[in-house]
Amino acid sequence: MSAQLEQYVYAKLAGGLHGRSRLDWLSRALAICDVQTLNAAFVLASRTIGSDVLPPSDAEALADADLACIAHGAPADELARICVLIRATRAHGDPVALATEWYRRGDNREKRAVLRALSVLDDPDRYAELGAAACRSSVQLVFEAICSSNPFPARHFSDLAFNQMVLKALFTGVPVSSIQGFDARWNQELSRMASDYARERLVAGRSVPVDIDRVIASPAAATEAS
Amino acid sequence: MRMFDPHVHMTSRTTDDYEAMANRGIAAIVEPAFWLGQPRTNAATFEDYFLSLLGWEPFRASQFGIRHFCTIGLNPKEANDPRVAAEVLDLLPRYLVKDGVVAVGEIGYDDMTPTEETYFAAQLELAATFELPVLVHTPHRDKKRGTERSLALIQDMRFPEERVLIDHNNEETLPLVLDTGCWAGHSIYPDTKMDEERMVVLVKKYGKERIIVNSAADWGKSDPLKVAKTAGRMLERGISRADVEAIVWDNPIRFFSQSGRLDLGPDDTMVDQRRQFEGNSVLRGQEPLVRS
Repeated sequence: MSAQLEQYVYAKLAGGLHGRSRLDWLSRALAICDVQTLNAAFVLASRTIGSDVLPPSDAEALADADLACIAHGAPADELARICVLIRATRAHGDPVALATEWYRRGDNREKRAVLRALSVLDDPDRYAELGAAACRSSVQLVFEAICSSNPFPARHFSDLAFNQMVLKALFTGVPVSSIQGFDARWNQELSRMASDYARERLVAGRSVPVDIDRVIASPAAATEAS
Repeated sequence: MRMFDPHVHMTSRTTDDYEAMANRGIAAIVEPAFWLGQPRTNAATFEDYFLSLLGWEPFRASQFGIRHFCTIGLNPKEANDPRVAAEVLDLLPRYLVKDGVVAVGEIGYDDMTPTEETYFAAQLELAATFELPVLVHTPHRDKKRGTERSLALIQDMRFPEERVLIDHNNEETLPLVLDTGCWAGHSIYPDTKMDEERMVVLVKKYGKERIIVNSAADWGKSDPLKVAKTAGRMLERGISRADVEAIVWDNPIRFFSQSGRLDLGPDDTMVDQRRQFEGNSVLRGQEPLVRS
């Protein structure tokens, strides 16, 4: 899967004015085995590769659904960082500690790259705690990196972590439709939390998020009704 | 008028301040790492501080349409503290490489101890390694001597002067700084350091070249609108609009652009606003430095 992503990123970088030098830089970075140097490459990716958003439709060419989801509308440096992180986790004896450290010591864009990468790392289940911790971020772009268009939470979060994330999405205006695998993870407790939240808003004379019904009603019922 | 506050400690300011700054035209800021009013007891709290300068604080600023950059360094006061100094110096390479870091700073002298000098020099070396400019704090006490010694150390180490911003200048130190190739910062304070009226006199005397003003607002009695107020006062006193714009916008941009990381990038709304302003004269000069 990582080879597929690297190929995609290489192909995307090849075009444009600085294609050659970006390509060279990334292939050199990915040839590094030393974790410290890989971290420097991870940080520098933004300045060397640039943050141009790759054409979202191009990502559909990726055979792997997770990769396609991650690459959809992603900036070039983020994808390059994901490639570097995949290499680093494989080169390191304790990949969870490594990813956690890169996340913790990252700026907001580095944090995003770590969170976007989680589902395509080897044995992703072990990063569940890191993903859930990221949901506590008050920086919206960091929260959205894990919550929105990311297959990781639905697949690896506990019910508690998943429900809390959905509630926070409602609180902060992230569309529920952007939560991958939402229907499969819908549960009664989540429905209760959402209806309590709706009631609390109504009692306070406040507006209710437009897509809260989608969280309150069971997806099965919604399918039957339509 | 678009303005740049190149020295303001927003970590200790409120969202009301951000709002007021944005309303007055402050579009971009640099927050230098400094001390927090009381000594830190271990290096880990420095690291959390650096992280907030790269994470939470730029996000807060962005909520008000203000672009936030920072400088990272071990300040001279705490350079004297063996509980933190060596360990913080070891942490710096990890953070000096980050995108939002546009200089090493605040570094320099405070009490002018030998230890301060050791860390000042070590951080000048780091700045050379990471190809970053430096922001140099000058002491409150014995300022003139402190400024002379700072300039001498920079010369001894052959650190490129055009990449040095000597801060908190006054009538006595400004000519010393302008005699070198360094840039001269002025912190406009309600009572101490420098005020608007004195700044007008200095600009009339020395012109706009390499002159920078900032609010240096922090957790003490200070005013984050001082750049805007000083620009207003300069206009009132007959300094040309072009010169005022040079001082409160072009100069800090020119200085911090030397980092190669002052990304006022094309996807940033602030740049779009600026492009509609005064025919984009500032941006044209900066375009080669914008990331492609």
